[in-house]
Amino acid sequence: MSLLVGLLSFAALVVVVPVVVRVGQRRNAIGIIMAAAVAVHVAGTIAGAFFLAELDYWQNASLYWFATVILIYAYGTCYRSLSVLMLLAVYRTASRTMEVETLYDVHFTGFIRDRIDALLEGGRAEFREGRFVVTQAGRSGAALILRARRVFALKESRLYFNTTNRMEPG
Amino acid sequence: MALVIVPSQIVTASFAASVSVPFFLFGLSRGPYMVRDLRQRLRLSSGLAIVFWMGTVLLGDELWRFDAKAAGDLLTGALIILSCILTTLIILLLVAAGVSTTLLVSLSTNPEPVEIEPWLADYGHGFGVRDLFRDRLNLLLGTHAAVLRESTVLIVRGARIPIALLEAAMLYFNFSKQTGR
Repeated sequence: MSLLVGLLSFAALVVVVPVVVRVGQRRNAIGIIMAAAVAVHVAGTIAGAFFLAELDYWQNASLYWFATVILIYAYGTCYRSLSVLMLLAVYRTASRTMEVETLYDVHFTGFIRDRIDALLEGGRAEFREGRFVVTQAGRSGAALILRARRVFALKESRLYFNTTNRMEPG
Repeated sequence: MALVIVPSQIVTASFAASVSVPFFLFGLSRGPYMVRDLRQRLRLSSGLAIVFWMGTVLLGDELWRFDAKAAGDLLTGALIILSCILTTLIILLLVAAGVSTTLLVSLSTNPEPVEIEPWLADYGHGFGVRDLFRDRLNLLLGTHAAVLRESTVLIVRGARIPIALLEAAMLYFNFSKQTGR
């Protein structure tokens, strides 16, 4: 029954998420989704403890948070995955086809400009006299990322494919 | 009203195993046990954490009661470890291959303000936006949802249902109008 409470709480979160992402003004709604997830979890746990003779908190929480992590992963994929955005850009044409150069020039560079805009809006970079410069907050964030890359030896892993290339066989 | 918050042995073991995932990752990132391939490293770290958890559970006495509580706790422990592995994967991908993170790192390592063209041409110190495009297009082609014929990307007929589900997810998360400028 405790697992069922977790499942029902997640079902409530699934209903709440599309509402909160439309209410929030920020482009990245991870923060508001997390806040909603915590609120629904607390409400679900209180309701479960009230209605059940005994609620095992960890059984309830594990199912709920496992499903929530998957939901956040799905959100991140829809929000940020360049491959997904490229796929949809091609799919939304009438012919379901697109020249590689058009995909790059018209769409992909737009996705990258969005990322740069997000850095500017987030206060991590500034645009001054036609040039980009990192802010103090951006420098701290970059130092943290570099430290994490060093600790987990991630230097060579910034591209998914280092050797194989489906565009250029052999 | 009764809320049981004291975790069982099985659940406590899953917490310990979850915490061990980044430690296994760290151990496999350097020294004699270094695994170069990141995906392989994460897979191995996750596998070791699961083996650690199962070993601890098998040595304990809760599992051997074979009751509904033990079965529920076993499922709970598995979900806790899987949540931790998935969270680690998300953070690792963001730090290792995130476009915004790499853009920020490259900008911070530039001593002077930069113009957009030279910045993007070599933003990864060894690769630029063109290389990134080829990399992510490779990733897309690897899903077999699209193919490349000469210089044209085509959607595969069999991919229509998965793409329709993706469109539904985009609508659900309020991204349906965002496919670039």
